[in-house]
Amino acid sequence: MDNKKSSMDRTALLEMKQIIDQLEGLLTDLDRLGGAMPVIEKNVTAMKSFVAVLQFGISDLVEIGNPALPPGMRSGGG
Amino acid sequence: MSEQDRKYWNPWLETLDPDRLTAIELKNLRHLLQFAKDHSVLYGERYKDIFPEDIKGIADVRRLPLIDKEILRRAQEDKEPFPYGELLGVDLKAVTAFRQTSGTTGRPVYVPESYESWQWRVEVWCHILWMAGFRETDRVFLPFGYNVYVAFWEGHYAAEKLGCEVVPGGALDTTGRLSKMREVKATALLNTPTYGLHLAEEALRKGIDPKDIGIQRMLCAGEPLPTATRERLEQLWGAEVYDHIGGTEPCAWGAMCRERKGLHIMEPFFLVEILDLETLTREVSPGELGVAVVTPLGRRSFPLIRFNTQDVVRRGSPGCPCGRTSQRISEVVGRADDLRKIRGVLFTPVAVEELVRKEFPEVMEFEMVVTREGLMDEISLQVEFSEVKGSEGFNAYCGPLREKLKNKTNLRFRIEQAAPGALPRYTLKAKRFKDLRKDTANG
Repeated sequence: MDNKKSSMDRTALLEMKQIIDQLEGLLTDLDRLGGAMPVIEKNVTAMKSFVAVLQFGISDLVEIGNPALPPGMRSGGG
Repeated sequence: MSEQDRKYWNPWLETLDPDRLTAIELKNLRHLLQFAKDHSVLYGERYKDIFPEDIKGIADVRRLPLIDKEILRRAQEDKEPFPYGELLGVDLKAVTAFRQTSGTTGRPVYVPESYESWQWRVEVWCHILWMAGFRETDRVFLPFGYNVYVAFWEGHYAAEKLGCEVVPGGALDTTGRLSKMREVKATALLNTPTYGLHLAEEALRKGIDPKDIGIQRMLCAGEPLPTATRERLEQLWGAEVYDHIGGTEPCAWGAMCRERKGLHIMEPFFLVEILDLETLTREVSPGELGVAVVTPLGRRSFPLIRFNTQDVVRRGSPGCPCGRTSQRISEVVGRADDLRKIRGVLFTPVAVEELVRKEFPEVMEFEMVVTREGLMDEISLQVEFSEVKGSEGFNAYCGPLREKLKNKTNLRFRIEQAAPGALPRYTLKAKRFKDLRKDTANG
């Protein structure tokens, strides 16, 4: 039972990490399209801060459990 | 998600195998080290011969020199960019909040927060509040003007983020705060232990039983919270009272779960070492006292690597019925800079607070003063009751108090009575210990 739950968690964490990565990419695209327009720039900065929090709390779990990812890949973090 | 799962803010992180927690911490330490070397003048110079790849295991962390408050002060004083100097890790334009230390021991340290660094701090506090049982249904009252000090700002933002309803009570006096808490039916409080006691004292003076206000949980900040003080608050308020440990520079790095037996270290947000008091080079074993050296791993605006907090704590045993796997501390003993030698005996003021709160509940307020008379140190304890005791009653009270103080501290105290209301009441950082000797270093 525990193994099954652990495997489900692992799949979910991997999917979540992928979505977090996509969010970061989407926000970078949005920032580029907005140029220096404050409404885009400032809101993207705020949203990227929350993405960094998720990278710390979620993505790290996947990276540490996955030797395929080189160490120190995380780009965000407070 | 089940209620059982909802007992954790982040179940994957909080129940992670300890070795994997350490692996995450080491990964993020290497990342922080490179970032700090690249972006902060202080670290660029301090760590010029150390590289992230040198940190292969936890033992390698000791190769990094410690940093303390005095180094932080020197890196800021008269250094650009004003006022953060050589500590700043981001462009000054990215700084969105100014905080500072209280300056109790000297020039304050100014702490810059970028929006990103601030959200990281808030996330740590979300873990702390959730662990203490704060939920979306709570109406949280903060009886303080937050000013430039960080703790209640963090509590405010985190309570908001986790969905509580936050009621700021800063611009009110104590009577107004009691009245507002009753008016809005507050269910939770964030305050200093001293102010929690003072609020209860004032309520009782007005004929209100604090238990009737409806506070179910209280998180204390800003001062040490000995077990006896926590239990007294719980008894007065009829609430669960929680402690945490932290500071302006490193953020809150340890907190209580609902077991309320010691504190969990907030892993993997922080790499915390508890090092021996004499040499600061050896990790102490469970049960031993040590000084906490803390590295917050996710803050770029103010990189802090191996910060000597001066907090003296007792390392706890691993494992907790709550299921969290982080390291634990069983007791916060005090601050290394509060430890004094009095007549050759090592003394911490927390020991007196623990005794007075636990065994002498008639004492409403107290203050300790150390002086040197000739070659001899003298320590006196002023105690204040709600009503003046006559000399006979006071002498009868003093006997057991003096004897228990002697047993607890190995020091003989002179005990004096202060008039009701004469001793100061504090809201932030109570100063109940005064060392008036000129030469405390040799004390």
